[in-house]
Amino acid sequence: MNQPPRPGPFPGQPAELEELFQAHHVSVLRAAYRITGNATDAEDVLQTVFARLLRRPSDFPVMENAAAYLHRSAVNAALDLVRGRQQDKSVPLDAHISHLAEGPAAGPDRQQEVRELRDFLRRAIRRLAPRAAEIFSLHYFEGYSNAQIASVLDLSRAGVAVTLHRTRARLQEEIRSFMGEE
Amino acid sequence: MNTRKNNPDHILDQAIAEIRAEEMDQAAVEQAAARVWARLSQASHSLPQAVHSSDDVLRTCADFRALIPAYRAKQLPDAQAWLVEDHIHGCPACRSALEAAQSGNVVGLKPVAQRILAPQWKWAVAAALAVGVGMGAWQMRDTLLPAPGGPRGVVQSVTGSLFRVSDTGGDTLAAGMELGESFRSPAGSAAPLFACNAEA
Repeated sequence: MNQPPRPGPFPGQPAELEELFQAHHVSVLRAAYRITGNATDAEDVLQTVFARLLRRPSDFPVMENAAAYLHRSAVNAALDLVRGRQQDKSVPLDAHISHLAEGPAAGPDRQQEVRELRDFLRRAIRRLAPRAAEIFSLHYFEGYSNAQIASVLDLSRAGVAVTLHRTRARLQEEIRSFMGEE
Repeated sequence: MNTRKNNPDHILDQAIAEIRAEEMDQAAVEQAAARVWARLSQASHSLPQAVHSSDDVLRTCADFRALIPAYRAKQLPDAQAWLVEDHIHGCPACRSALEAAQSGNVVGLKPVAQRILAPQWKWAVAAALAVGVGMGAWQMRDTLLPAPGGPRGVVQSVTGSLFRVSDTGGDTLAAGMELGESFRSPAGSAAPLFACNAEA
Protein backbone atom coordinates (compact mmCIF):
# COMPACT_ATOMS: atom_id res chain seq x y z
CA MET A 1 0.00 0.00 0.00
CA ASN A 2 1.40 3.38 -0.95
CA GLN A 3 1.91 5.68 1.98
CA PRO A 4 1.49 9.41 1.58
CA PRO A 5 4.76 11.33 1.42
CA ARG A 6 6.15 12.26 4.80
CA PRO A 7 7.76 15.68 4.53
CA GLY A 8 8.42 15.78 8.24
CA PRO A 9 6.75 17.18 11.30
CA PHE A 10 5.15 20.56 11.13
CA PRO A 11 7.47 23.33 12.25
CA GLY A 12 6.42 24.57 15.62
CA GLN A 13 3.82 21.83 15.91
CA PRO A 14 4.10 18.63 17.87
CA ALA A 15 5.07 15.56 15.93
CA GLU A 16 1.80 14.24 17.27
CA LEU A 17 0.01 15.87 14.34
CA GLU A 18 1.86 13.81 11.79
CA GLU A 19 1.16 10.68 13.77
CA LEU A 20 -2.50 11.60 13.93
CA PHE A 21 -2.62 12.12 10.18
CA GLN A 22 -0.96 8.82 9.45
CA ALA A 23 -3.16 6.96 11.89
CA HIS A 24 -6.52 8.52 11.07
CA HIS A 25 -6.58 9.95 7.55
CA VAL A 26 -8.29 6.84 6.17
CA SER A 27 -11.09 6.85 8.73
CA VAL A 28 -11.59 10.59 8.32
CA LEU A 29 -11.80 10.29 4.54
CA ARG A 30 -14.22 7.37 4.72
CA ALA A 31 -16.46 9.03 7.30
CA ALA A 32 -16.58 12.13 5.11
CA TYR A 33 -17.27 10.07 2.02
CA ARG A 34 -20.24 8.34 3.64
CA ILE A 35 -21.89 11.71 4.15
CA THR A 36 -20.82 13.54 1.01
CA GLY A 37 -20.76 10.59 -1.40
CA ASN A 38 -17.97 12.34 -3.24
CA ALA A 39 -14.21 11.73 -3.12
CA THR A 40 -13.33 15.35 -3.82
CA ASP A 41 -15.54 16.53 -0.99
CA ALA A 42 -14.06 13.92 1.31
CA GLU A 43 -10.61 15.26 0.49
CA ASP A 44 -11.78 18.78 1.36
CA VAL A 45 -13.06 17.47 4.67
CA LEU A 46 -9.75 15.77 5.44
CA GLN A 47 -7.95 19.02 4.78
CA THR A 48 -10.41 21.01 6.89
CA VAL A 49 -10.12 18.66 9.85
CA PHE A 50 -6.33 18.68 9.95
CA ALA A 51 -6.05 22.36 9.07
CA ARG A 52 -7.96 23.08 12.23
CA LEU A 53 -5.53 20.98 14.19
CA LEU A 54 -2.65 22.79 12.53
CA ARG A 55 -4.05 26.14 13.61
CA ARG A 56 -4.85 25.12 17.14
CA PRO A 57 -3.07 27.18 19.76
CA SER A 58 0.03 25.75 21.36
CA ASP A 59 -1.80 25.45 24.67
CA PHE A 60 -4.61 23.43 23.11
CA PRO A 61 -5.40 20.57 25.48
CA VAL A 62 -4.08 17.18 24.52
CA MET A 63 -6.76 15.03 22.92
CA GLU A 64 -7.63 12.12 25.12
CA ASN A 65 -9.50 10.25 22.41
CA ALA A 66 -8.10 11.36 19.10
CA ALA A 67 -10.06 8.83 17.06
CA ALA A 68 -13.40 9.98 18.45
CA TYR A 69 -12.45 13.63 18.11
CA LEU A 70 -11.39 13.23 14.49
CA HIS A 71 -14.38 11.07 13.65
CA ARG A 72 -16.73 13.67 14.99
CA SER A 73 -14.80 16.47 13.29
CA ALA A 74 -15.03 14.62 9.99
CA VAL A 75 -18.76 14.07 10.33
CA ASN A 76 -19.41 17.69 11.23
CA ALA A 77 -17.14 19.11 8.55
CA ALA A 78 -18.83 16.88 5.97
CA LEU A 79 -22.29 17.93 7.13
CA ASP A 80 -21.23 21.59 7.01
CA LEU A 81 -19.94 21.08 3.49
CA VAL A 82 -23.08 19.48 2.09
CA ARG A 83 -25.37 21.87 3.97
CA GLY A 84 -23.59 24.83 2.47
CA ARG A 85 -24.66 23.84 -0.98
CA GLN A 86 -27.88 24.57 -2.71
CA GLN A 87 -30.32 21.77 -2.41
CA ASP A 88 -30.23 19.29 -5.23
CA LYS A 89 -33.37 18.48 -7.05
CA SER A 90 -35.12 15.73 -5.21
CA VAL A 91 -35.54 12.53 -7.13
CA PRO A 92 -38.76 10.69 -6.32
CA LEU A 93 -38.10 7.30 -4.90
CA ASP A 94 -41.20 5.64 -6.17
CA ALA A 95 -39.63 5.14 -9.57
CA HIS A 96 -36.67 3.37 -8.04
CA ILE A 97 -37.86 1.15 -5.24
CA SER A 98 -39.63 -1.49 -7.22
CA HIS A 99 -36.70 -3.84 -7.09
CA LEU A 100 -35.07 -2.89 -3.84
CA ALA A 101 -33.89 -5.71 -1.64
CA GLU A 102 -34.85 -8.24 -4.22
CA GLY A 103 -31.72 -10.29 -4.40
CA PRO A 104 -28.11 -9.53 -5.15
CA ALA A 105 -28.68 -8.25 -8.65
CA ALA A 106 -25.76 -6.14 -9.80
CA GLY A 107 -27.08 -5.00 -13.16
CA PRO A 108 -27.11 -1.39 -14.26
CA ASP A 109 -30.71 -0.90 -13.16
CA ARG A 110 -30.01 -2.20 -9.70
CA GLN A 111 -26.87 -0.06 -9.44
CA GLN A 112 -28.85 2.98 -10.45
CA GLU A 113 -31.49 2.20 -7.86
CA VAL A 114 -28.92 1.85 -5.12
CA ARG A 115 -27.28 5.12 -6.16
CA GLU A 116 -30.62 6.89 -6.03
CA LEU A 117 -31.33 5.43 -2.63
CA ARG A 118 -28.02 6.61 -1.22
CA ASP A 119 -28.47 10.05 -2.71
CA PHE A 120 -31.94 10.29 -1.28
CA LEU A 121 -30.75 9.57 2.25
CA ARG A 122 -27.80 11.96 1.94
CA ARG A 123 -30.07 14.75 0.80
CA ALA A 124 -32.50 14.01 3.62
CA ILE A 125 -29.71 14.11 6.21
CA ARG A 126 -28.51 17.51 5.09
CA ARG A 127 -32.01 18.85 5.78
CA LEU A 128 -31.96 17.62 9.38
CA ALA A 129 -31.11 19.84 12.31
CA PRO A 130 -27.33 19.83 12.79
CA ARG A 131 -27.37 17.95 16.08
CA ALA A 132 -29.82 15.33 14.78
CA ALA A 133 -27.75 14.84 11.63
CA GLU A 134 -24.60 14.42 13.69
CA ILE A 135 -26.16 11.88 16.05
CA PHE A 136 -27.77 9.96 13.19
CA SER A 137 -24.50 9.81 11.23
CA LEU A 138 -22.41 8.78 14.20
CA HIS A 139 -24.83 6.00 15.07
CA TYR A 140 -25.86 4.60 11.71
CA PHE A 141 -22.82 5.34 9.56
CA GLU A 142 -19.96 5.23 12.05
CA GLY A 143 -21.38 2.55 14.33
CA TYR A 144 -21.29 4.48 17.59
CA SER A 145 -23.48 3.15 20.38
CA ASN A 146 -25.93 5.44 22.16
CA ALA A 147 -23.64 5.45 25.18
CA GLN A 148 -20.61 6.43 23.09
CA ILE A 149 -22.51 9.26 21.44
CA ALA A 150 -23.79 10.43 24.80
CA SER A 151 -20.23 10.51 26.09
CA VAL A 152 -18.75 12.28 23.07
CA LEU A 153 -21.51 14.89 22.85
CA ASP A 154 -22.05 15.22 26.59
CA LEU A 155 -25.68 14.19 26.36
CA SER A 156 -27.81 11.73 28.24
CA ARG A 157 -28.33 8.30 26.72
CA ALA A 158 -32.04 8.91 26.81
CA GLY A 159 -31.57 12.14 24.89
CA VAL A 160 -29.57 10.34 22.22
CA ALA A 161 -32.17 7.57 21.97
CA VAL A 162 -35.02 10.07 21.62
CA THR A 163 -33.15 12.02 18.94
CA LEU A 164 -32.43 8.85 16.98
CA HIS A 165 -36.04 7.72 17.24
CA ARG A 166 -37.41 11.08 16.08
CA THR A 167 -34.86 11.31 13.28
CA ARG A 168 -35.77 7.87 12.01
CA ALA A 169 -39.43 8.78 12.14
CA ARG A 170 -38.80 11.93 10.16
CA LEU A 171 -36.77 10.12 7.53
CA GLN A 172 -39.43 7.44 7.23
CA GLU A 173 -41.98 10.19 6.75
CA GLU A 174 -39.88 11.63 3.95
CA ILE A 175 -39.67 8.22 2.33
CA ARG A 176 -43.42 7.83 2.66
CA SER A 177 -43.92 11.23 1.14
CA PHE A 178 -41.68 10.42 -1.79
CA MET A 179 -43.58 7.21 -2.32
CA GLY A 180 -46.77 9.21 -2.65
CA GLU A 181 -48.44 7.94 0.51
CA GLU A 182 -50.27 10.08 3.02
CA MET B 1 -50.71 -2.76 3.38
CA ASN B 2 -47.06 -2.21 2.69
CA THR B 3 -45.03 -5.09 1.50
CA ARG B 4 -41.65 -5.33 3.15
CA LYS B 5 -39.86 -3.82 0.18
CA ASN B 6 -42.14 -0.80 0.27
CA ASN B 7 -41.96 -0.34 4.02
CA PRO B 8 -40.32 3.05 4.80
CA ASP B 9 -38.53 1.55 7.77
CA HIS B 10 -37.06 -1.16 5.58
CA ILE B 11 -36.13 1.30 2.85
CA LEU B 12 -34.37 3.50 5.40
CA ASP B 13 -32.38 0.56 6.74
CA GLN B 14 -31.49 -0.41 3.21
CA ALA B 15 -30.31 3.11 2.38
CA ILE B 16 -28.15 3.16 5.52
CA ALA B 17 -26.69 -0.23 4.66
CA GLU B 18 -25.92 0.89 1.11
CA ILE B 19 -24.10 3.97 2.33
CA ARG B 20 -22.11 1.97 4.87
CA ALA B 21 -21.19 -0.55 2.21
CA GLU B 22 -20.00 2.08 -0.23
CA GLU B 23 -16.26 2.32 0.18
CA MET B 24 -14.05 5.01 -1.17
CA ASP B 25 -11.56 3.47 -3.52
CA GLN B 26 -8.29 2.67 -1.74
CA ALA B 27 -6.14 4.29 -4.41
CA ALA B 28 -8.29 7.41 -4.24
CA VAL B 29 -7.87 7.43 -0.46
CA GLU B 30 -4.10 7.37 -0.68
CA GLN B 31 -3.93 9.95 -3.44
CA ALA B 32 -6.20 12.30 -1.55
CA ALA B 33 -4.17 11.83 1.62
CA ALA B 34 -0.94 12.58 -0.24
CA ARG B 35 -2.36 15.79 -1.71
CA VAL B 36 -3.76 16.97 1.61
CA TRP B 37 -0.53 16.19 3.44
CA ALA B 38 1.47 18.11 0.88
CA ARG B 39 -0.83 21.13 1.23
CA LEU B 40 -0.73 20.96 5.00
CA SER B 41 3.03 20.82 4.96
CA GLN B 42 3.27 23.77 2.60
CA ALA B 43 0.85 25.77 4.69
CA SER B 44 2.62 24.90 7.90
CA HIS B 45 5.82 26.48 6.59
CA SER B 46 4.16 29.75 5.73
CA LEU B 47 1.63 29.82 8.55
CA PRO B 48 3.94 31.38 11.13
CA GLN B 49 4.76 34.21 8.76
CA ALA B 50 1.30 34.53 7.31
CA VAL B 51 -0.65 34.46 10.52
CA HIS B 52 1.50 35.16 13.48
CA SER B 53 4.05 37.69 12.33
CA SER B 54 1.65 40.60 12.17
CA ASP B 55 -0.88 42.08 14.52
CA ASP B 56 -3.64 40.89 12.22
CA VAL B 57 -4.09 37.46 13.72
CA LEU B 58 -7.14 35.88 12.14
CA ARG B 59 -9.53 35.28 14.99
CA THR B 60 -12.93 36.72 14.13
CA CYS B 61 -15.25 36.90 11.16
CA ALA B 62 -14.29 40.55 10.82
CA ASP B 63 -10.65 39.51 10.43
CA PHE B 64 -11.54 37.12 7.63
CA ARG B 65 -13.89 39.53 5.89
CA ALA B 66 -11.19 42.16 5.85
CA LEU B 67 -9.19 39.77 3.67
CA ILE B 68 -11.99 39.10 1.19
CA PRO B 69 -10.97 41.87 -1.26
CA ALA B 70 -7.37 40.65 -1.32
CA TYR B 71 -8.57 37.07 -1.54
CA ARG B 72 -10.73 37.89 -4.55
CA ALA B 73 -7.83 39.71 -6.17
CA LYS B 74 -5.64 36.65 -5.51
CA GLN B 75 -3.19 38.82 -3.62
CA LEU B 76 -3.04 36.74 -0.47
CA PRO B 77 -0.18 34.38 0.30
CA ASP B 78 -1.19 30.77 -0.24
CA ALA B 79 -1.48 30.03 3.45
CA GLN B 80 -3.74 32.99 4.15
CA ALA B 81 -5.89 32.25 1.11
CA TRP B 82 -6.16 28.74 2.34
CA LEU B 83 -7.23 29.88 5.80
CA VAL B 84 -9.85 32.17 4.29
CA GLU B 85 -11.21 29.28 2.22
CA ASP B 86 -11.26 27.05 5.26
CA HIS B 87 -13.12 29.63 7.32
CA ILE B 88 -15.61 30.35 4.55
CA HIS B 89 -16.18 26.66 4.29
CA GLY B 90 -17.63 26.51 7.76
CA CYS B 91 -19.08 29.99 8.17
CA PRO B 92 -22.32 30.70 6.27
CA ALA B 93 -22.22 34.40 7.18
CA CYS B 94 -18.76 34.93 5.71
CA ARG B 95 -19.66 32.77 2.73
CA SER B 96 -22.57 35.13 2.09
CA ALA B 97 -20.22 38.08 2.46
CA LEU B 98 -17.89 36.61 -0.14
CA GLU B 99 -20.78 35.89 -2.50
CA ALA B 100 -22.07 39.41 -1.99
CA ALA B 101 -18.62 40.83 -2.71
CA GLN B 102 -18.46 38.77 -5.88
CA SER B 103 -21.82 40.11 -6.96
CA GLY B 104 -20.83 43.69 -6.11
CA ASN B 105 -22.82 44.05 -2.88
CA VAL B 106 -20.69 44.78 0.13
CA VAL B 107 -21.88 43.10 3.29
CA GLY B 108 -20.33 44.39 6.48
CA LEU B 109 -20.53 43.07 9.99
CA LYS B 110 -23.43 44.63 11.79
CA PRO B 111 -22.69 46.21 15.14
CA VAL B 112 -23.33 43.79 17.94
CA ALA B 113 -26.19 45.84 19.37
CA GLN B 114 -27.98 45.83 16.04
CA ARG B 115 -27.59 42.13 15.72
CA ILE B 116 -28.90 41.46 19.19
CA LEU B 117 -31.85 43.84 19.29
CA ALA B 118 -34.61 43.92 16.73
CA PRO B 119 -36.28 47.36 16.38
CA GLN B 120 -39.37 46.41 18.39
CA TRP B 121 -37.14 45.20 21.22
CA LYS B 122 -35.21 48.44 21.25
CA TRP B 123 -38.42 50.37 21.99
CA ALA B 124 -39.40 47.83 24.63
CA VAL B 125 -36.02 48.15 26.34
CA ALA B 126 -36.16 51.95 26.20
CA ALA B 127 -39.66 51.96 27.74
CA ALA B 128 -38.59 49.56 30.47
CA LEU B 129 -35.58 51.74 31.29
CA ALA B 130 -37.75 54.86 31.44
CA VAL B 131 -40.23 53.16 33.80
CA GLY B 132 -37.40 51.83 35.95
CA VAL B 133 -35.70 55.20 36.25
CA GLY B 134 -39.02 56.88 37.07
CA MET B 135 -39.87 54.39 39.79
CA GLY B 136 -36.39 54.65 41.29
CA ALA B 137 -36.55 58.42 41.34
CA TRP B 138 -39.97 58.33 43.05
CA GLN B 139 -38.60 55.98 45.69
CA MET B 140 -35.65 58.31 46.35
CA ARG B 141 -37.46 61.60 45.93
CA ASP B 142 -36.94 62.65 49.57
CA THR B 143 -33.21 62.08 49.22
CA LEU B 144 -32.68 63.48 45.76
CA LEU B 145 -35.03 66.45 45.62
CA PRO B 146 -34.32 69.68 47.54
CA ALA B 147 -36.70 70.36 50.40
CA PRO B 148 -39.46 72.86 49.58
CA GLY B 149 -39.07 76.40 50.94
CA GLY B 150 -40.91 77.80 53.99
CA PRO B 151 -40.86 76.95 57.68
CA ARG B 152 -39.96 73.47 58.84
CA GLY B 153 -41.87 73.67 62.10
CA VAL B 154 -43.28 75.79 64.91
CA VAL B 155 -41.92 76.04 68.45
CA GLN B 156 -44.58 74.82 70.86
CA SER B 157 -42.80 75.78 74.09
CA VAL B 158 -39.31 76.54 75.33
CA THR B 159 -37.70 75.38 78.56
CA GLY B 160 -34.36 77.20 78.80
CA SER B 161 -33.11 78.82 75.56
CA LEU B 162 -33.53 78.21 71.80
CA PHE B 163 -31.62 80.05 69.08
CA ARG B 164 -32.02 80.27 65.27
CA VAL B 165 -28.66 79.70 63.56
CA SER B 166 -27.97 82.13 60.72
CA ASP B 167 -25.12 84.00 58.99
CA THR B 168 -25.83 87.06 61.08
CA GLY B 169 -25.68 85.28 64.39
CA GLY B 170 -28.28 83.68 66.62
CA ASP B 171 -31.82 85.01 67.16
CA THR B 172 -33.62 83.92 70.27
CA LEU B 173 -36.73 81.85 69.50
CA ALA B 174 -39.89 81.78 71.56
CA ALA B 175 -42.99 79.61 71.58
CA GLY B 176 -45.17 80.11 68.50
CA MET B 177 -42.28 81.19 66.25
CA GLU B 178 -41.58 79.44 62.97
CA LEU B 179 -38.31 77.52 62.46
CA GLY B 180 -36.06 77.58 59.41
CA GLU B 181 -33.39 75.06 58.44
CA SER B 182 -31.14 75.24 61.53
CA PHE B 183 -31.56 75.91 65.17
CA ARG B 184 -29.86 74.90 68.40
CA SER B 185 -30.63 74.72 72.07
CA PRO B 186 -27.97 74.88 74.82
CA ALA B 187 -27.37 71.99 77.16
CA GLY B 188 -30.16 71.67 79.66
CA SER B 189 -32.74 73.36 77.43
CA ALA B 190 -35.70 71.70 75.76
CA ALA B 191 -38.12 72.85 73.05
CA PRO B 192 -40.93 70.62 71.77
CA LEU B 193 -41.58 71.34 68.09
CA PHE B 194 -44.57 70.97 65.86
CA ALA B 195 -43.58 69.93 62.41
CA CYS B 196 -45.33 71.91 59.67
CA ASN B 197 -45.85 68.88 57.40
CA ALA B 198 -47.26 66.74 60.21
CA GLU B 199 -50.77 65.55 59.57
CA ALA B 200 -51.85 65.72 63.23
